[in-house]
Amino acid sequence: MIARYLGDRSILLGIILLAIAAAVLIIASDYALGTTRRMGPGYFPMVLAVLLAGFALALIARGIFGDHDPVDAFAALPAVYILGGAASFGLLLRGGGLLVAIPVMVVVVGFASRQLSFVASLMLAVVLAIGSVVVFVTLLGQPIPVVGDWLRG
Amino acid sequence: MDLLSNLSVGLSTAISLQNLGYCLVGCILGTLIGILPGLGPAATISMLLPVTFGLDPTGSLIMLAGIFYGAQYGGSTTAILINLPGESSSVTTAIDGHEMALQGKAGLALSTAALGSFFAGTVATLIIAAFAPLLANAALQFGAVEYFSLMILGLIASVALARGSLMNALAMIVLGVIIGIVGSDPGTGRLRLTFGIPELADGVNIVSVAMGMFGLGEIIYNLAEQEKKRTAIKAPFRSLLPSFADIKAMSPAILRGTALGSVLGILPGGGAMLSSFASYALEKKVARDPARFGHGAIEGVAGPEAANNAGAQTSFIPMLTLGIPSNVIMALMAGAMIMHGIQPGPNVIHDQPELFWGLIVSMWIGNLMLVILNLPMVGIWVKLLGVPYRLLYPSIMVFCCIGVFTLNNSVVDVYVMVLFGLVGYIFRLLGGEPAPLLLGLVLGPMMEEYLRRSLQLSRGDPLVFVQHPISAVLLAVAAVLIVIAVLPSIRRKRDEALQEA
Amino acid sequence: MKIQTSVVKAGFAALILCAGLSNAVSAAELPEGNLTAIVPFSAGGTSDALARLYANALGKELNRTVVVDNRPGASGNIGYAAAARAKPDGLTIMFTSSGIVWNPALFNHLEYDPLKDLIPTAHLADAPQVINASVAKFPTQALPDILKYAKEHPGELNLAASGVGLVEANFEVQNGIDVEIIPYNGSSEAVTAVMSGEADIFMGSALNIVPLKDSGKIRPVVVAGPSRLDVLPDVPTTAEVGLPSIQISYFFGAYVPGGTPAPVVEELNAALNKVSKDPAVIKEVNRLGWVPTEETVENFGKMYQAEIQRWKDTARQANIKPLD
Repeated sequence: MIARYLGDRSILLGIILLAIAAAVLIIASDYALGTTRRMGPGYFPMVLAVLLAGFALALIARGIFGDHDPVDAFAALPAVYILGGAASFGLLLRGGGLLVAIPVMVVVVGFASRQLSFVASLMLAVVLAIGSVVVFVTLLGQPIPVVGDWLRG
Repeated sequence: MDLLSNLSVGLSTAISLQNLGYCLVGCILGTLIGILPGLGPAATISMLLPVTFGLDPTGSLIMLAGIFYGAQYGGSTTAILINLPGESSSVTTAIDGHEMALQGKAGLALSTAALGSFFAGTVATLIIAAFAPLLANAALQFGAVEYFSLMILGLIASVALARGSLMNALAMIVLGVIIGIVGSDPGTGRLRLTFGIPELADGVNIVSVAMGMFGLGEIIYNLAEQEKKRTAIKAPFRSLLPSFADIKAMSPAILRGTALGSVLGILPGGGAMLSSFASYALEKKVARDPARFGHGAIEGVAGPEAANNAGAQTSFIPMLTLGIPSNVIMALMAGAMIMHGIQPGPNVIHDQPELFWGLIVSMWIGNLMLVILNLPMVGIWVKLLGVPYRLLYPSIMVFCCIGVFTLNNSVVDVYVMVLFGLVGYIFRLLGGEPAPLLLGLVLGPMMEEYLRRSLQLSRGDPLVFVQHPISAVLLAVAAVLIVIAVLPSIRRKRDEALQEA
Repeated sequence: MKIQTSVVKAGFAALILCAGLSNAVSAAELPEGNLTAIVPFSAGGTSDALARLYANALGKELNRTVVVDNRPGASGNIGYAAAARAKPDGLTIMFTSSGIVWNPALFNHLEYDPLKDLIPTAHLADAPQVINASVAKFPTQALPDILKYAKEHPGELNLAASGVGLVEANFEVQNGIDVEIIPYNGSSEAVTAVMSGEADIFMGSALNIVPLKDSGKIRPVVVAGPSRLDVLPDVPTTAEVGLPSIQISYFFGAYVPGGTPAPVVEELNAALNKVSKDPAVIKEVNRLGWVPTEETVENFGKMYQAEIQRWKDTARQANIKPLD
């Protein structure tokens, strides 16, 4: 029974949204509400949080009383590699520069595809790293670190 | 007639070899950035503003304008081919355009987009030329109250384009508005929901969110499905040109989109994105079988494409006639004019006729150049996507990451993109559509401002929204739309219940 | 052999003359290198245009390349903080307008110390504000009549403010009127509001009103400055309508990081004051709605401190709470 409920799309979505609404409600209550005539910073967020909670509850209700709408499987592995790769780009950019961040990201992201061999991803990494430096830094003049702080003198 | 003499002044200015050159450069650059996700016209125009100081004012405006509407064309190309809208106004094009591509009709989708945009561009140019002063005055009728109601209508209308349920979409909109709130409160400057991260003080970057939800989310989804749909994008060159039947199908949509975009583009805060969303909703509503939408309906590409190009061009009107920019890009253009010693305002038409009319005529020339650039070149873009997905997606990710970073030189934007990649993927699994969220994100902060100002003007009386006639009409239309959207499902449930009885 | 005294005297005079001239033209105290001009606004606005004007003129005068660094955001605080953090060698100069003396009143926490981390270097221009009214509401009235109306109808009039409304709040308090101050995003929006009738009054620089004064929707009522403006020859000053105490002016200045050596500051002040007198510069400045001026480093510094205090007092009086 519980499994059926937790595997239902509307119910899951409703629960997540309800949690977000509750969080916003709590945070926004710290801000000055003001009056209707002079809305304070907290006014609009509170209204929105209440609205969102309303929809979230409606979604949960639909999930319980309506037709069962099962969730597809969560493809954890591709998600981890793709998101992890992009995150690693962010982490490495300042310290390592483009020439470190891009290859690392491409290799990590490459693991997500069963058809991309490790060697191919390495070659792609090099091509993309050099290509990006040429296009974005040399041609477009963007102030992106090519070689990061860790590698400088 | 005045119009003809004005246009001839403009033509003689615009076809000088120099200005044609600037136009071409602008269009090519624009198409290129439109195609590259993460790098938008606003960023590019700001980057190139200093470069154009050395040029004469007319030339630099022509080039900057070329970048702007060129980006609209380029954005549609990636939207259709990779389902990665290069610009926020291409989001709607991606919906049916990509479906068409998956069905092997990529060439048709691209030419529809190009032709629709060109038609809209031509018409918009004529409209600007003929009605500029009149139209700018009409926009003055819209105050804070009217804008708030207009945005409510816009959001409700966008819900009509959600593939999923009404409730899901409404919830997504509200969530989007909440995310849009993150940052400084416009009224007091108080930081809200920033969790102590200084880079969030100016808000969550919509490009980061879009890149995350559409870009990364899409890539995860595709890899999970193991690339089964990728091969359909190899469209043979022959299929580029639309058949007579296709032209008949797309024409009414193009006409409607052009009209809608021309009107919505003038309103401040409006412009390309609002126009394309509104057009999609309109097309879905007037179509004889709306179920086709989301599965490759040609009207779903023709309408929004015409609308976003018309909207992009008519958004020049308030800036060129009143000197009041209606969005960020227009503000940059106004800045470029000031740099060159030209005061944007009602006097420009009188004091600088060559500049004004030259710019307007060059917009049409630019549209022509873009059709030529995009249609034959489409073969190149299509070949580009014959590249196997396993090589393509890391490249896309590199562009996304770098592009997002260059917006504010901030890695926080990259992390936001990652977060929304996760969020986008999870919501997609649970039936939450990203498009309404994005619209809420963009319109949310503006809505709050207009709401706040409306209530301040009315000294706290919420009835002001129905007391102002234009606003009352807009809200009434929104209410009607909700009823129309809900009615079929009520009737269906009633029928089901009756059948079981 | 005895050299004629007159020749010697002439020689000395020539030497001193040369020394004097070279002091004005060469930047003896300023170290080698390019100049960086920090502009706390995004490219394309009036303040940015002014900043670039002065920065480029300064660069030409000192024979250096000037790099303009736009650092917009957080009501200017990002740019101010960046300037405060820069190397105090005189090669980094920030150009900005009055906002810099408002922020200490508007924010509890600033990333820099406005008194210690920035040195006011040159007072370059002033922008006397023009008070404008909506034609629909006040088709012909002069300022005294408008103020009278405001006093007789408290809370009725809508005053459009292009920013947070500190200057407008000051105006309210100083004239003893009660109006509704409505914040807008920038002067363009505020002006549009008055033109559409949503707001009744707007105070801004001449640049905002000159292109629209014949539009029939908004009219300049009075110049809150010491003299009439060339670009608005028909608009009286507050003194001319009997209200000489109403003086509302923004100022534009150059600042260097705290710790920059005094001789360097003086040198920059001299150079900037010099370029400020160039006719081409004056023409541009006027076109942008500003009036060139000049001031010594010491006096500008005193003015800066006085202004900061003044706006802190205003904020308190008008009940505007500073933000964290």
